[in-house]
Amino acid sequence: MSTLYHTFLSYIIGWQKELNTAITDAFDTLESAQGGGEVYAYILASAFVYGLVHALGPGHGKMVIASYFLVHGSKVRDALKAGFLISLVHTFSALGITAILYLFFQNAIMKHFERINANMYKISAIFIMLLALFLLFETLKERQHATPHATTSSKSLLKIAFSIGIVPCPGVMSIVLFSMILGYYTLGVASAISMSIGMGITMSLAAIATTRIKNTSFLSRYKGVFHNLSFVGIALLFGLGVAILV
Amino acid sequence: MKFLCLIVIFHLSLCAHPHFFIDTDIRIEKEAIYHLWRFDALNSKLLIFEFDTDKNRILDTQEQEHFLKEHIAPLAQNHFNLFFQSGEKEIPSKPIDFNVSIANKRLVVTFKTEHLFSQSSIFCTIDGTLYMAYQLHDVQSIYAYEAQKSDYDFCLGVNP
Repeated sequence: MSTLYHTFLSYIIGWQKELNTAITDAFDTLESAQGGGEVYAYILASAFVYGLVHALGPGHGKMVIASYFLVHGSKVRDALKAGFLISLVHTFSALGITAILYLFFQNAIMKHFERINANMYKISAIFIMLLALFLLFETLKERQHATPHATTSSKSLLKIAFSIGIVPCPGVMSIVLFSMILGYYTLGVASAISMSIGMGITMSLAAIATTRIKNTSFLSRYKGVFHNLSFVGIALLFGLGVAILV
Repeated sequence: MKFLCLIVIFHLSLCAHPHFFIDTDIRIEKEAIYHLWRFDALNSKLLIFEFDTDKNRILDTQEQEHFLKEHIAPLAQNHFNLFFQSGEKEIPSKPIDFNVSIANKRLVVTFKTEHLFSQSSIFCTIDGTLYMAYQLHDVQSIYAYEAQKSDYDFCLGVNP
């Protein structure tokens, strides 16, 4: 299992490295004034694929989103929304911080970025723990009233999106900063959005897969057991928050 | 061991994805390992933008020291992402003779670690947090060696 995971991780990292190089080379082509519209399109397409692959790797809260939908359950539409919302918050958090760093802290961008990222992880950890407590409350309520959740409210979706997405995406920040340094501001922001769509698809697929698992007839048959397992899921989610925080 | 693997995997799962992609060249001599870390072009651009303050595309001593303080010194808490085992004994790595330069638009860090290869040894470069992904690019060794590598870490078994 460990070997399989490391092989998977190695592939994902290898692809990211290749895409990282492809994007840099494309910018070099633009810099040398050899490229036109097709290079812009190539960069945006590469950023999109980079987003898809980037979100496959560790981080990005797939474990959180999976735990949430496994415990809470929801419609596929809500899972889709949640994935894209997380990706959007993740990207805009990165865009906002990058803009502030670029405008006001040019001499210490990377240093500040690392510090901000570390603190954002801590804030995210607290949100994840609160999310676990919220799920515990909802599960206990569900047990008392026997009213399973059919939908996830927009408020809940926002809670999930902020708890996971608030940590700025380092991948997005790097590409945007790189573009800004070279003077391609619009292309940088467009690449970030393209990357965000790619990440959103991966995140949504993770959320939808979990929702589908939750709704399978096999699990419905063992509803009682699964209900008790929900508490294990909540404990794991809370533990994840604690582990990130310490 | 399995428990340790689970902890490492869990740790990897919690942490961020690679931020820096580093091509590594290793040269193994009789009493030392010489390391060359070549940062990826994208991050090199960002780092050069920040640390080459006079924008002359050369990192002078002050700029190098600034970079080492900000980006290399913090790695000390994880033994600079270096692991060395001589026989059964783990030996902490103490990198020295750091130099930072720019070559072909890429930021290059070189340093050495002193190790006496008196018996079979294992040397690895790995960042448990996955913040830095190390890819083995080239090895030169006066001893026979075997390499085990992935796209984010590598180990060398050296037989003197």
